Amino acid sequence: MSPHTCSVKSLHEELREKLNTGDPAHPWCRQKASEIFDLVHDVSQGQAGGDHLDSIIELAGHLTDQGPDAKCRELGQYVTGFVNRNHEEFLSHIHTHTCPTGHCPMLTPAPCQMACPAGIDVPSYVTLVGQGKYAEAISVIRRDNPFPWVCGLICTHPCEFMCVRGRMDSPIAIMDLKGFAAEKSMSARQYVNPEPLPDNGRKVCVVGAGPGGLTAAYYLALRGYRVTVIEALPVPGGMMMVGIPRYRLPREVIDREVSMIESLGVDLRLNTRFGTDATLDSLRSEGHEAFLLAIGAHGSYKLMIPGEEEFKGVLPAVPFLRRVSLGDHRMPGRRVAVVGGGNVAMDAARTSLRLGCEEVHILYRRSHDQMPAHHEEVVEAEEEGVQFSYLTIPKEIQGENGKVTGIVCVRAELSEPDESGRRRPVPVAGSEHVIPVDAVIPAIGQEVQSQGMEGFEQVDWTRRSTIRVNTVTMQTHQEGVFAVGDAVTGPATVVEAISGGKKAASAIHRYFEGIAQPTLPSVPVRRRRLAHFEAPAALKTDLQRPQMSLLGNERRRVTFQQVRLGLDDAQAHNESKRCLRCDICIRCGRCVEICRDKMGIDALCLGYLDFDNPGPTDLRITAERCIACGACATNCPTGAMQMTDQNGYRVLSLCGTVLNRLQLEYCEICGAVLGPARYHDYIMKRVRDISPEMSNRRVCLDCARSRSGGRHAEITPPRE
Amino acid sequence: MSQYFLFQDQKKCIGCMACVVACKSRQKLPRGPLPSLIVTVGPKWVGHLPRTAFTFMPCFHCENPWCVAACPTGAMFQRGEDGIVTVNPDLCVGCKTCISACPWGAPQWNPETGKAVKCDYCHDRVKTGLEPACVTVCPTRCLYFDTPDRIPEIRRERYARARAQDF
Amino acid sequence: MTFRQGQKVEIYRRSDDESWEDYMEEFMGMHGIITDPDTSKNDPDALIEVSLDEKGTHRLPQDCLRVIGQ
Ligand SMILES: Cc1cc2nc3c(=O)[nH]c(=O)nc-3n(C[C@H](O)[C@H](O)[C@H](O)COP(=O)(O)OP(=O)(O)OC[C@H]3O[C@@H](n4cnc5c(N)ncnc54)[C@H](O)[C@@H]3O)c2cc1C
Ligand code: SF4
Ligand code: SF4
Ligand code: SF4
Ligand code: SF4
Repeated sequence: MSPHTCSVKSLHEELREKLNTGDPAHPWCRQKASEIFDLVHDVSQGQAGGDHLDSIIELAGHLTDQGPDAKCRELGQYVTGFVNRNHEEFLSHIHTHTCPTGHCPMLTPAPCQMACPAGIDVPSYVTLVGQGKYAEAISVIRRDNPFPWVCGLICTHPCEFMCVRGRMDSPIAIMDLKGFAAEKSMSARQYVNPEPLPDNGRKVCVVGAGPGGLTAAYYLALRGYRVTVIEALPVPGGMMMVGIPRYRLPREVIDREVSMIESLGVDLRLNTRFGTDATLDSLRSEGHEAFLLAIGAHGSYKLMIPGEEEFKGVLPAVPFLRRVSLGDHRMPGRRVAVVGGGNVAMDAARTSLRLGCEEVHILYRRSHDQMPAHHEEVVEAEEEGVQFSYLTIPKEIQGENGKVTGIVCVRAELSEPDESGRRRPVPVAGSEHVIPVDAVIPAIGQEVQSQGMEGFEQVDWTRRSTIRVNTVTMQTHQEGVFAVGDAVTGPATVVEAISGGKKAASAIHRYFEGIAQPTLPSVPVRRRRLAHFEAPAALKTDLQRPQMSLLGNERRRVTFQQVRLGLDDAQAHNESKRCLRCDICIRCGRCVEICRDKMGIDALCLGYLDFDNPGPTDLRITAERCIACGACATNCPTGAMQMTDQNGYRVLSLCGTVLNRLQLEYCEICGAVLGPARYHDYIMKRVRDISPEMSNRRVCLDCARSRSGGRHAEITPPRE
Repeated sequence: MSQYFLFQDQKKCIGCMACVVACKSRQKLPRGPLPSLIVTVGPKWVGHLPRTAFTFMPCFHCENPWCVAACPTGAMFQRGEDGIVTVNPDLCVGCKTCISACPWGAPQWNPETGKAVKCDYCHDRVKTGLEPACVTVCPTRCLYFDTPDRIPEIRRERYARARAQDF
Repeated sequence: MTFRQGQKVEIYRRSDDESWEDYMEEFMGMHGIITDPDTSKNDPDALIEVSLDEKGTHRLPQDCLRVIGQ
């Protein structure tokens, strides 16, 4: 946790402490002070309205001006000063329901939302999908990411790695639900833009129409800026369009989402390269006052082996994939060797197969286990018939008549782990062999191409040849110039570029408005507070992550049709019910601790609560053991654990999951609700030694009192 | 049995509830919990006159308290020095077991704090030489707080009679 | 050490890398999961994506990380 504590929380606690210890003592002051306390309480719960802060200041003013004693006046002054000093933090609690320090339990975002680089409110949209409100889900997502459809298909989904349900069985299919909602609302024509603010007349130029640049353009346009995006290629989308192959991300998906951004009035100029077709001066003279560099990492590392420059047929993965995306569907060769074991290598190999290549080899220097490509990608490549040669190091490219004829490789063995634990491939002497191929596709990494960027003289570059920025604001060393995406991180992911674009948009806005820039990374904003679904523990446990159906393998080998076919309605709805709603339950573990350590009952088996040492989870065991005392619910700081009486039953539920349901008993005398029999038994067992015969008593508190009051009554005839 | 005793002379009580209110306000309780209560019995016809009795019902601070036995957390306890039965709010988890266990409904539920509260004979006041809040405010002076041996003779008798009806 | 997707890691020391920023001091001692290692060639010098428990997802240099647990 951050060393800085939340000001709202500390004022809340201070006032509570004061009131509890009888301070201030004067009843009028107490009244005012407790009104202030209630308002601060609302703020800390994210339930405050726009006028809460004014009311707090006004009440504090009353205390200061009309306070009958010094203590009272001091308190008024103190509150006023405190609120003024921490004005921004209070406003963020009120307007965005965000506690910037993450200390207010009711405002803590779920781990999936925290993990999403763009900070999407995952539990809210997952819930909306479950309710069939797809368009609403999309508008929640687009508050933080204007590419829900793209990301719903190809995101690296860090959220799913942090998903709490993953500690129980498997993570929620957060990404697939996003793609599902986007497709549904797009096809229902309900995928719409929010209303932008009126034109503010200021112009911003974005260089590069990848996800980073377009995201910034979207959020700037919504804020009323006039945005020009210049793009060197004839298509928008950056690596989404010219890197990621069509069988993973159909072109229409990018087209539709980009056109949503264009329709906000963003001026998208294709075939315009910065440095040649446009310069800093030409753009400045058009009135652009701020610049965002989002040029990606489109350069390729070389293999540095003989023959690489000499023969036709050597084409690095990035230009190869770009060529294919731009419509050149000629195969690179009948037999192709892709060098490298990463995601880009898989994409290049699978693309080659689809272009009709007869043999596609992936040559990788280390072993299968060490391949950096995502597991799924490797499996799909294997299924489609890509041949993998592990522990194979390319030495030389051979050719005849200027064309590639083969690649000379040596086999390698892995060394014993060195000090850093890394096992290096060591060439085996005499293991040279030639793999006959007529095309070689190096896929061993990309770099940022800085050529053409010289116009931005003060922009500083790192030793990794990326643009140096402050990663909180994405500002470069040159005033008014910002940079995002692969150009600052090196080859990374779409969602990180989007996250950068969003941060840059708000930093550019602050730059224009002259507002101080933040120094700490922002905490994601919760967009909704939706009620949870009610579901029995058995259903919650038994639902499984859906298996997405894939296109048939024959079709996959020969066409660029989408491989992953998406979820159907029932799968999506059930998946959303699996979500544990970690935006409500903050996994503090208080409930478990109380039931186990204080009550000695141990009815809650929620091993998933702990990130570091997750234990087993059994939602069904509660119904066997729980006595429905309600102590867990009483002490739950967020209301996630609830105990209610419903139709003759006492029900314990956690974020809507019904953990226990026991029939209620009623007072023999007045019919008032008593607890369930199991609760009664628990108590009777404990007091058996004092009064064994009491065990059948079913009398409520009030009746017990008045009955014994009656026994003590002395009604005697008036004295003579 | 606690070393103290709170005795009500029902003859004098007019059912004004001042004691009930004083008790609540000392413990700063919200709506709901009533650690002490005046139970109104009657009116009944006694001879040819309607009579009402007002019974003061705080906690009896039993010798062997049900609530203490029932409480799983040790929050409800009997003070060693004077036998007063009281709750340690830091330990209480709000399971309400004590409330359900007490045959006289003495422990009460404070919905604001989610913890049990009860009559504790105002031991904080008593320690400083004051009387319990209820005793102090009673306009008819019908409440007496003292050690049992100093409760006047007839009242002890009357009390004994009252308790005898109970069992 | 090469990091793999899904590994649990600890930020066990300050990085010597130029990409280490002031606000990252707060991350010291925190635990997280590798969400996007270098997916082209396991480059030990690349910045990699780590999702920290309760502190969001960040690109960090690898010299501050070590694998914990399994
Ligand atoms: C083959 C491949 C597969 C990938 N798969 C995935 C995946 O599945 N999931 C994922 O999350 N990420 C994936 N990525 C990474 C992802 O595509 C990038 O991280 C992301 O697109 C970076 O966005 P960006 O906006 O920074 O840059 P880019 O998307 O690279 O966009 C930069 C744009 O700037 C333009 N530009 C460059 N220089 C100039 C100039 N001088 N003037 C004008 N325009 C210029 C470029 O033409 C380009 O359109 C993949 C990358 C590749 C190469
Ligand atoms: S269970 Fe739901 S709320 Fe919790 S982390 Fe997973 S998706 Fe997010
Ligand atoms: S209500 Fe049930 S689960 Fe909660 S503390 Fe009581 S026994 Fe345990
Ligand atoms: S349900 Fe349990 S773990 Fe979740 S917030 Fe409430 S007390 Fe904490
Ligand atoms: S409510 Fe508090 S005092 Fe009463 S039994 Fe439960 S823990 Fe003990």
